[in-house]
Amino acid sequence: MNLDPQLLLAAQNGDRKAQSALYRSCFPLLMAVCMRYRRDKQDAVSALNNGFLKIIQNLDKYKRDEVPFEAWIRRIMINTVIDEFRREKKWRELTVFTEHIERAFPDEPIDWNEADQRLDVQHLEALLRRLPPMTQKVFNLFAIDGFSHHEISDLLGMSEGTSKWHVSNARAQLQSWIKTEYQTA
Amino acid sequence: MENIDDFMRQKFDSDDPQERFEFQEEYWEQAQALLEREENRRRRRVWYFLLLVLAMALLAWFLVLPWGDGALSENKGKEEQSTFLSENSENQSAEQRSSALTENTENPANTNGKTTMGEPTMKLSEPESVEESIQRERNRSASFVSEKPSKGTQQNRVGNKSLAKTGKSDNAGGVARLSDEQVAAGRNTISSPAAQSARPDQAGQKKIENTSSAIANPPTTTPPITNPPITTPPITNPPITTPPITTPPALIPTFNIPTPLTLFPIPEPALVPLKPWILAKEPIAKITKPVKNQRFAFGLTMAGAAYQSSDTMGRWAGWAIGLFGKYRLNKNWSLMLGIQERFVPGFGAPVESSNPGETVQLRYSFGFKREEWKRETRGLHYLEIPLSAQWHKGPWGLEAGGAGGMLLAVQNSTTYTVESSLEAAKTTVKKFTKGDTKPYNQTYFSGFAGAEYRLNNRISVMARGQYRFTPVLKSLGEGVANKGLGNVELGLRARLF
Repeated sequence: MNLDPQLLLAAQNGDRKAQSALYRSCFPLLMAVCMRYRRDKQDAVSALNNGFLKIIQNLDKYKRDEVPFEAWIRRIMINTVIDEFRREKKWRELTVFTEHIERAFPDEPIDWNEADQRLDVQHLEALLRRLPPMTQKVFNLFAIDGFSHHEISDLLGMSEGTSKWHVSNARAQLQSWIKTEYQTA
Repeated sequence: MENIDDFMRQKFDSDDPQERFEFQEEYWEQAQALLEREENRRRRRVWYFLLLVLAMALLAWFLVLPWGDGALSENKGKEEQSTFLSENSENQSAEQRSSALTENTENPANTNGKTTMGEPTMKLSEPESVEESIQRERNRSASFVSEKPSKGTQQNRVGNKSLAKTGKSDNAGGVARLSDEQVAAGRNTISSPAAQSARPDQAGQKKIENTSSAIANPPTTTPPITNPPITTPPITNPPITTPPITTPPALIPTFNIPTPLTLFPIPEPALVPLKPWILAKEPIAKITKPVKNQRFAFGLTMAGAAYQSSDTMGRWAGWAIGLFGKYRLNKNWSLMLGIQERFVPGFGAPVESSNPGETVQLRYSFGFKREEWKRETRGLHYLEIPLSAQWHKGPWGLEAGGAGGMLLAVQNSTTYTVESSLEAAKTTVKKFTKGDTKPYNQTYFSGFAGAEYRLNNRISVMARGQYRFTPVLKSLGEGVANKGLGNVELGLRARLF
């Protein structure tokens, strides 16, 4: 994503047109992040707008030489989503709920090349959304966004062991579902 | 790919979200609404900060600076106050008072004692040449006017002098007109040249030339064509009615009347309600619960107060406790009436009145015995009735009003020390003894302004600055300024029902 520094400066100074242009530029990237963490599109747009507000408010802190803009806004978006999730305070109940999920382990190993050909990103997003919310967040953070268990435990207020458990649970679930998906696809 | 983590990461990294997520204008409108709301909020925060700074400055003003010294210097203010304080004093004559007001005046020239402020102004502002010309014209007019000038004419002369001294200002035209009219009426032959001499234009010079003829002729024979500016008949402008512009504002003794406190200006953005169509999942600001639809409220109020240092002991901490009743006029405004006891710290009366220390020492053949009494004023107790108007917005409220108070008691502490050659010194302290109330003003009036924040439906925190216009003591002695008293308060209000 190559953005004109003048555009960023204008957006930072409150120029609505520049902000609109920045919003259009960032929209796909941020939406992709939100869709992985949120349940539906409306939820994702709401989270995206909140994240964009934070981006505008913190544009003055962005250092072009140190971090790529794409990585910077992605990180802000993830933090926003996690903050909102934490504020909802429903995750504790949902965590209890996840313990009752049946853990299905595939009998045969998955052929990843075949899965790669048959499953697109939208399929995978749908699979991720089927996971329990907390497990979905932890797996997203760990497997796709590259957070460590320590960071996840800090972000979500849980122990590292719990974080590992969520990742393990997500792996098992996803493998089972992927196998079913590409077999039926 | 070895496991699902790599598989997922690779799939999402290679994904191009541009194709999947199509931008819609509706999304940007939602984001724009959010941005606007945040900007409004930030702007409001700036206003609140400015208000806070203003309030802090006001509080600092109440605490640190003396009240309303006005345009005069401090020494001058003290002189005035001492003059006003000693107004009832029989020893001080009128000449002394006028001399206090007309300081640096070499020649007061106030023979009839009617104007004390006008003459020095003339001395200061009038050039010497004008003075001389006035004197010259006065001598000339004495030869022309045969009849003795009446008292009114003398007053008019004084007034015209005052007019003449303002001739340099914008009032020159008016002065010239008045002088000419008086010349035409034949009542005053002195002021016209003086006034005209203060007017540097040619018309003024022509008037000067015409003056002598106008003086010589009777008023009915003065042709109007020779003096075009004269439009008003002389009878409509009697010479006694000297306009108030004759006294320049610079030397009027300014009374130190404090300006009334006003409510803080409410910034426009703070009044803009949140737009209802803004879509947001969670409100940014905490929504306060609406107040019950109740007109009357009644409760307790208690506050700690910091006063301007009152005496040499440096006591400053006071308090106020009482009851209040509030009547809500409409959604934002309400009236509040209260009754409370107020403790004002310090304010020991002057030595000659009631609070001396006393020592008695007796000598015996076997030694001595010494008794020492010391009385000290700890503070004053007042019954106060505050009345204020309040403006509310959400949990915040601003209030301003006035309060009347009555002195209930003077709280003294007495220290009694007895010491003798046979036993060590023994000190007894009584902290609550009643003192003499005579040296103090029995009633007072004060004004206050402040803010209130409602913590919940019952309790609110309030902070306000108060200034008591009536001095605490009746007099501090000759030449000592006896001013009002300022304080700031921080306290709680608890609504009972």
